[in-house]
Amino acid sequence: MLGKLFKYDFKELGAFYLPVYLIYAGITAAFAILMVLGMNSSLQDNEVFSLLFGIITFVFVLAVIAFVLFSGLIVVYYFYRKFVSEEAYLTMTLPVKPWQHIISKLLSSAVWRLFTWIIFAVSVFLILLITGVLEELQRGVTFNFVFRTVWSELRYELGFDTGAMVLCAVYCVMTLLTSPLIYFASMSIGQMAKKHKVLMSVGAFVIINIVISFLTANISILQLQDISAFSFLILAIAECIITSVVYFGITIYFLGKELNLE
Amino acid sequence: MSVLLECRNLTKRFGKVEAVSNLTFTMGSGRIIGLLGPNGSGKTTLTKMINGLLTPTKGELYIQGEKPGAATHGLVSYLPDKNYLNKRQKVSQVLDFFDDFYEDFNRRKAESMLADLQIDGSMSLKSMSKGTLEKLQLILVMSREAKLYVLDEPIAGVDPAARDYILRTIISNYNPEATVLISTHLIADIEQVLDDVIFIKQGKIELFAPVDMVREKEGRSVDALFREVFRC
Repeated sequence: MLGKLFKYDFKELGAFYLPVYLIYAGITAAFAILMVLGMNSSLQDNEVFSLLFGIITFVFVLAVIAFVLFSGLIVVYYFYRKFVSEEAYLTMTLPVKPWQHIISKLLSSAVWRLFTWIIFAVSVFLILLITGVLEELQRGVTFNFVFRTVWSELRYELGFDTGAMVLCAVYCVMTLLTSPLIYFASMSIGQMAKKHKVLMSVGAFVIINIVISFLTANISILQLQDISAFSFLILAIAECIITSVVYFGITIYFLGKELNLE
Repeated sequence: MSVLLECRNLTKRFGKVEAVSNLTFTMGSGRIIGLLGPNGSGKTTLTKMINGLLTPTKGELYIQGEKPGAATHGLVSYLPDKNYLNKRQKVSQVLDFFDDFYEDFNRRKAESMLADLQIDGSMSLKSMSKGTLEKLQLILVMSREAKLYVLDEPIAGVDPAARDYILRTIISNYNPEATVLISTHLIADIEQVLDDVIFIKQGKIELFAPVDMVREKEGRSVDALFREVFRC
């Protein structure tokens, strides 16, 4: 059942993500083309070109912000459609356990959000390639040099050894998989309201954040400064596991016992 | 006759209001049962509890000995009084979906009924009228070889011709070893197809008896009795 759920969730989420990718790719391509054209000194003095370049730059910046925001909003909207709107009558009467629904949404959305970050990274890389990096390459600065400098900074200034790098990768994967859970938990509480379910979900989100902040307040930055990157990441992973289990439990409980489809 | 559905002191409270109050009854298999009551009598609350969409405040409900959950969803075919399908899909995709998740889904039967209504697999649900969408939902539900069919107001809000179609579809397509529970307040249209009736009033069962017995004992139709019992 989990496999079947994943198949449908992945396809349905794709119907939201793919058009966003196409729009973002189009805007990035337009920006990149204008940047390349802008390196032509004769166009740099052209007022029309300058105006167009200014508009596209503004649109590109908005597109980057929107692209990153939409990546998360799509998952929230999808959960709302499946568990709070009328489609919930179908979702919640499938021969599927509630935990399977949640795991499927987490896995399928994680794949699409990973694609989103890859596309974002590629677009940033392309823009850098076309602009400053190209100039740096002309001066003899290579990617190898940049990579070695960054690695050295991480290793010696921030204490990132190989173990810490592995934990960092683990933490990134865990965050990718579990970050929607706080929104799922908030919406599963919010759906109990007779009216203004969205408002109640936002309220639940705020309260959950306040509670988590209060509980983690004792782990101050000053104390963390004395520990190694490895230990810091162990704590971060532990916090991720604990909060994910709590959010997962809240979601399962409220969708299972307190479902309110009216 | 085996016990298909059993309720023991089933109660559901919303705040101070008891929508369903101490219901205790059993339903066997192979019956068409009308769950009859006016608006607000507790019909939808009961049908939702049967489908695990509401949790009882008190008491218990069992379907073939199991509490409502993933396992009983495979036994119960539910038609809510809502358009609950994914409107971004085409008909063929909805058929694939039901085929994938319900082992008892008879795709050939569904396609045959859809062909009778000239509903093509390539049609988008977004382009369908409300009435066509309701018929599609009914066909999907009745194409399952379920143990219990729960139909919540299947003929409300449709024209008389559509009502006849819906009732014919229900009678000619349900699994004869199963039970069909039809929740409605439109008694006259549905009376002729019922084996048993349940009268529910303010969350309590006023009557649960075979239709023939009611007619014989009361000397009038179920519709006439309903009007008297639920007189305003």
